[in-house]
Amino acid sequence: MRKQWVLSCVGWFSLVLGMVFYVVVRGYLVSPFLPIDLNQIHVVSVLSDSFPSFIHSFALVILTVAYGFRLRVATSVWLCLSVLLELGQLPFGFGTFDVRDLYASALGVILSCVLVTSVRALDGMQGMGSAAAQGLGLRALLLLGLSTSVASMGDRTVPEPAVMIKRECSFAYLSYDELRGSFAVEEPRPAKTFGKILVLGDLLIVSEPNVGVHIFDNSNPSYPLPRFFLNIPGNVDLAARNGVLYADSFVDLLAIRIGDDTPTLLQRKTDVFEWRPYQAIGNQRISSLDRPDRSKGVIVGVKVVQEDSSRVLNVPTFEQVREECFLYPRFL
Amino acid sequence: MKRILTILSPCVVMAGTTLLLGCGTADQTTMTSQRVATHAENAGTTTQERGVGSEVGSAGSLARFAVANDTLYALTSGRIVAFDISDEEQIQKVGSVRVASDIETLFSDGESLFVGAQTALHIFSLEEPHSPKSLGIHPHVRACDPVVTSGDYAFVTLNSGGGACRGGENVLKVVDFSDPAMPREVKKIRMNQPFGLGVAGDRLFVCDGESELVEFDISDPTETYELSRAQDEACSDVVPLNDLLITTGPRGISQFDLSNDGFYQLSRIHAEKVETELASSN
Repeated sequence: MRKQWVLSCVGWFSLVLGMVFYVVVRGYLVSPFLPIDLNQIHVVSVLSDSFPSFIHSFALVILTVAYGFRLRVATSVWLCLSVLLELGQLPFGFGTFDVRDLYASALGVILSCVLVTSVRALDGMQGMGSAAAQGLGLRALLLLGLSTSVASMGDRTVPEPAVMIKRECSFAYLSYDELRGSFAVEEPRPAKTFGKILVLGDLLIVSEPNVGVHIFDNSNPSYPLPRFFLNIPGNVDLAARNGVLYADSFVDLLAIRIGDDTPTLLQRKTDVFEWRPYQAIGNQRISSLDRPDRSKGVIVGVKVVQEDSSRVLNVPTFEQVREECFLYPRFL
Repeated sequence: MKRILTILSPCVVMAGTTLLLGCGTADQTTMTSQRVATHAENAGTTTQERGVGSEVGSAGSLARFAVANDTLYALTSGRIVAFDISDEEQIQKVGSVRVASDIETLFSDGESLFVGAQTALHIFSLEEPHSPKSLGIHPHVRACDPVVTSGDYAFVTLNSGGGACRGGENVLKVVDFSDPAMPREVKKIRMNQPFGLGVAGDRLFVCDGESELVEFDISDPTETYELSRAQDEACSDVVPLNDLLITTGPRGISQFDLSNDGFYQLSRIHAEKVETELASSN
């Protein structure tokens, strides 16, 4: 009598384990949070796909025996059902037919036979309860077995494998020639951020770090009027004297005449400041990128290549670089 | 035993996943605090130009440039570099003085250069404009320290922001440098997280924390005390002009009328927009 309890416990435990594995663990094998997709490893993939089939037959045979049926009946019923259900997927086109599932089911039945026989060998076993109860038990088990099999054929309940979007990031350079031709007076435009501010007479001069300088007419502080935008890549600081604005532009120093008229570039003093590779891309060392190369120019952003297309993030924040360039799995 | 291991292996996978997730979170925290330091460096800074005349222009306290007389000073690679700008079309690099690798802000009162570093406040004499001479170091002033001066006194904010400035206090310090070789702290005021600051006459304005602008009375710097406080004014730096106070911060540039006590907002220039918002519609 006690052995039946052992068998039924093993059976139910295996069944529950199989379900948990099916719903939870199989999901985790393709979890986006794992550094590698475990499904890429063939053995793991096969085991995880076929384990539910195996445990399903194994548990149901043991349970059937535990509820008092003959081993021969139990094995033949579940073997036939497993094979039919698996093969049945072929003509009907739902579920995925996998011959390995057949092997797994067969293995489950064989192992359960071995287990039951070895338990039985210790002592003769009596049926549990009356014949009527047996019939009810068998029907319940059949129903359970069929429904779990059919349920497993539906759409996979686990999330689709996370797709690692493969992106190559590299520094976007502005060559020294381009830098030296970059100064331009443009129409006012919105600033993403404001940095250093400077007041010169009625003019309010504001740096948008690493992008350029915005000039406002501030003769009425209640209503500052945007006048010009100066394109000065790599600008961080400003100073002024006698109507001349001094602005850094990466490694260069610019002197710009400002006043009522359109600003004009008076002089560019080249290579007077430190070459700072991370100045325009969030001031962070970014190890996943190639080494910054001073000979190519100044670094103004990050170039992102994804499959056939590429784009340049100009003056990105460090968060943006991290978002775009660090490998992040994405659910499609 | 083997079977137990087989059954347990999915649990190991799950535990591993949790661990990985945990690490990810920690990593993110570190990055955020580093970013704070970056913000400090990029936000631009302040230089209150006293006694140099308005022709030089007024800027905030978080500067890497300073102008005194005919010379432009700039911080780069841990050095002060001097440019002769007497002829604006013929800028000459005339000198370079090694200071320290952690220097961050620079300003001048026309006679001296003050260099805020992560570990100290350095003071330089501009008697020879092309080769600033070290007068003294105030080692107790550390962190990303914006500095302004008024007479013989320097006002410095220290904040405990992230990155290189971690661990600092959140205070406003008043330093007496009448003897530049022996700067002396005369007053220390606790604050939330002070940043840029500026002096207008007897008033000192300090950006504090996420959203406050604080005004101090400094008619007697040794007895500096708080006058008023504007809530909901996120700023990283301030530029005081005669009756006008301009603040810059993440939300944009605000201007305040200082002709009366307290803060009366005149306008705000928003980031991401070209238009100006009138105070009345605020």
